[in-house]
Amino acid sequence: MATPPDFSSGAVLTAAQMNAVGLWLVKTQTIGTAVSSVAVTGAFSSDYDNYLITVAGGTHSTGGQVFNLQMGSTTTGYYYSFLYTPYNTTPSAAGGANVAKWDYVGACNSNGLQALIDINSPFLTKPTSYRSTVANHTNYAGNCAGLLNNTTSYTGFTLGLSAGTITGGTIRIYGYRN
Amino acid sequence: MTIDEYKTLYPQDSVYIQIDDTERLMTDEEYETWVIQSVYNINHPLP
Repeated sequence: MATPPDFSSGAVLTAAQMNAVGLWLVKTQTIGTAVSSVAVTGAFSSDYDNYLITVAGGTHSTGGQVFNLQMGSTTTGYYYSFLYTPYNTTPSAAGGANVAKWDYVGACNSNGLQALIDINSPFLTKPTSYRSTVANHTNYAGNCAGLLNNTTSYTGFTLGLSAGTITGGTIRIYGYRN
Repeated sequence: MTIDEYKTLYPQDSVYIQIDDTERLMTDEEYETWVIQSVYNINHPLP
């Protein structure tokens, strides 16, 4: 079978073909009105080792802010490095060591919420790591990566904001097939 | 921005914490912590 599989109209999909699907939607969470954070439960399990979290649509009350992320109820042991530029050729950086959350995991713009967050090993009893991209309107853009320095198994997370509130939009959690 | 200005912009009875499909208002302690962190972040943007 070719990779990716080449299906034809009306074809019966075999187990082998379905088992080759790499990304499965685990959960969809609609964001409410004027919320400062969204906790999502039942996101991670033994079904998958690695996950993709996306945020799209919605609005931020002012724009120009960023998402942050906490795993479960853990408020210590987060490490991250954020490399960015204010849309020029001079690199800048921000970071945190043993802080309370991962900052800079997505952008909160007044005309849309944007996040693509890869999470490695959240359910396994191993350190959890992540990578994300941030394009904060016309302010700056960059890439962030980090580690949560413990071996706790997590089933959920909380998406927070640097400031302000968000309304609408959708959080989607996908599992990468093991 | 000052803490009072932020509280005027976002009164405690207008901001919610969402857990899955449920929204609730913040406790007094949660609100004060959120205001302080938010004002700090607004006053210390990345260059």
